[in-house]
Amino acid sequence: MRRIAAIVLCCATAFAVAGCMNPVSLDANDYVIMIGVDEGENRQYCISFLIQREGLAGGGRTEELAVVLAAEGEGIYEAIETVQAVSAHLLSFTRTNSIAVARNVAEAGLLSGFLGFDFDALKLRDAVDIIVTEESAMDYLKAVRESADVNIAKLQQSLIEQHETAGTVAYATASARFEHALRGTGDLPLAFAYVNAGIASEQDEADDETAPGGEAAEEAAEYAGGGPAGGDGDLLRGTVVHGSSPVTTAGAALFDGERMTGVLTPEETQYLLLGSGSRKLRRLTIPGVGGGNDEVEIERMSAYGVTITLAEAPVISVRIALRVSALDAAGGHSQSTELWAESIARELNAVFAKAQRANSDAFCFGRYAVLQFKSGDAWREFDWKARYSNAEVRFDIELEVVE
Amino acid sequence: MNLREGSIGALELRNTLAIALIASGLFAMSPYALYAQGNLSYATIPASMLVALIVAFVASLAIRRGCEQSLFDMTKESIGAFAAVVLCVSIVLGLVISAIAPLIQFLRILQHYIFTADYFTIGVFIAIAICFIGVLGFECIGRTANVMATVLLLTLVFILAVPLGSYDVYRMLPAVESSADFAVLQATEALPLFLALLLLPLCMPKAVHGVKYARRPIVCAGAIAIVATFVALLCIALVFPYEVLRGEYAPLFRLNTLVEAEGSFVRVEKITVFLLLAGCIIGCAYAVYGSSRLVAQLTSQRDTRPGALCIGMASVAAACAICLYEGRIDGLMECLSTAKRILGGVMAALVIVASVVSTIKHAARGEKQVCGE
Repeated sequence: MRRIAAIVLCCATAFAVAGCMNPVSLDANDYVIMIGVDEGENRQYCISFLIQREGLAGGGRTEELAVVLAAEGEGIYEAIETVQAVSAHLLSFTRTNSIAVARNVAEAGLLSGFLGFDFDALKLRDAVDIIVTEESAMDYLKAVRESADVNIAKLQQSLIEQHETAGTVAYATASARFEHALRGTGDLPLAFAYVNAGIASEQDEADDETAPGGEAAEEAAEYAGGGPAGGDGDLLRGTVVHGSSPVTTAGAALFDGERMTGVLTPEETQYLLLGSGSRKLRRLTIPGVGGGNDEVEIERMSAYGVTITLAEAPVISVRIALRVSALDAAGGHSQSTELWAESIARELNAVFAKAQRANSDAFCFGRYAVLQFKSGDAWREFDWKARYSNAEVRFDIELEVVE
Repeated sequence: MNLREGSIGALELRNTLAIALIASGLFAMSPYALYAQGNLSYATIPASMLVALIVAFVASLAIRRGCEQSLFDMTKESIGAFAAVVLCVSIVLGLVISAIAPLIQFLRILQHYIFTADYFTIGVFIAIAICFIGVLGFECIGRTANVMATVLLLTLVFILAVPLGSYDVYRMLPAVESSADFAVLQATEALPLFLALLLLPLCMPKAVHGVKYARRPIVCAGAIAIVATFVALLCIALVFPYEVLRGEYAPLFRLNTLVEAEGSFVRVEKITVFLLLAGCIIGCAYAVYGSSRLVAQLTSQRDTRPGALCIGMASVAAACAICLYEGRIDGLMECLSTAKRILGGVMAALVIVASVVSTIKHAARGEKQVCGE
């Protein structure tokens, strides 16, 4: 009897404690799915919010179900106050899964200043991912909103899947970024995204056409090129892209501390993840001799080890052992293990050199250097980033090719 | 007489003690206090628990050898009645602190992450649960712990297993900001909490069928708590470096934040908070009942219920007050830390001295007697 009373008591207490305090109806909230950060005209930032209004499941047109609101402010709180003044609902950040930052904001080193607010005060999860957009973050949010094939509630999951399987895009949460920024153990690259202008016009043309497959849609479908012309926005290198979603995540944004200093293409991002020891990477594109590429599937990363010799010019030795199988050997290597290993090492060195020129420890080799220090003071005194620019790297690749 | 002791077996005692020890081990110290100068918590907290377990074990051996009924009888017999009273008071204070300390962290977690309400509003609900279970008595606490033990263990395993892919050794090093001197201070600060929890069954022999039968559950509970606390704190160290942990309120519930998307485990962290809160409530009720029981013994009261009610409400109120005023009163936490270290030292010293003196006395008399129990 006492036991039953105790159980009932515990359950009743648990329900009572878990019950609503200051209850708020679900309809009273506007759920922010994504936050966009641009440089403001009159204030430091122009912050936009992609808000989910109705329950959204799977695909389907989202224009009526989501809205983008934006306001300028010195920080996110000011923008929230402004937006709340014109919105009938309370902004809720409990479902926010992404923060999109415009490239010019990242290059100006304003990202950390924006992210300095208290996430817990907004009930914003540390696991929110951060994306750098080629152009305006607000335009990116609008493109996401208008895209028929994007499930805005599953954006983060889609990004993770692309990062883990194809490896053509970087991925970092706010939590991971804070960690490396605080410790100085690396410059974690962020996902790079843009609105594919060709597909955007195909979308608009298709809306105007009364019949599917009209001339305008055909022309737009043959658009060659990824992002906006100029610079390194064309990450897909002239790939013809068909489809109704202009929202593209591809590549990695490189950072030197607070500032963005470069961009890696999707192929380079694959090698970045490989060199960083990502055990979830499944595909690799190996440049061939005749201009073509070999596609391999990575069955397993058998070994990954980093040895760092600390000095004014640190020497970084990376050993990677892979078990791979060929998917497409169009590159002319005829599945030669040695040639593949050489190509992989060459590509890794090229990516490292590109990151080093951007003064970005994108591989986060600082995580291995820090293991040799007995105290945080000693690590900071060593100043890894200052010596990183002189570092030499050697990639030792071992391949086991299976049928 | 309404001491609400009842009678519990080895399993109930083991589960109650393990839950109370793990709750204190994981939540008794604030993240800032644990990680301000580095992260050696996975060594200091289990080490402190081990020291407390050894002291309790030595005491139980000495009680058994001297054929005494309880810890106080042994202390009174060996070093005097005044020392027994001082020991009783110090154990009461240790139990009250072990009731308040985890509550402070849970109130912060609930107020920061889940509820938009003030500390006292949240504290009322917790106080009701603690006081009610504490008033019902030791047997109720033991039976409730029996029911919840498996659930709590599975919850803890779940919390630690889900972020398996995020564990990485590089986050543990370097382990200290400048030097490891803080480790000893940390361990001594946690000692009185663990010691009071482990010594309580030795003060209530009738409730546990005699000290002879309490020794094994105490050792088992201590071992389980040491392992569980070590593993949990180690996992936290593998996910968050100490620079990040300083500012985290609830690192145990945030282990999944490195790679987390809108999936199955997004809301589960809040459910695990409430499950572990139930464990904290049981641990606090055990401490509240124990302190009221000892106060009743000290003051020759025949009813523990008023004491349990008062101490329970006062503990929750004190926890709320500390949450509110910690940052506003300079040196408050340093004073409390120093007081805890002194308390732990007094408690351990009295127990060890009493045990040694009792053992020597009986050895000197050359007595070999069979204790009739």
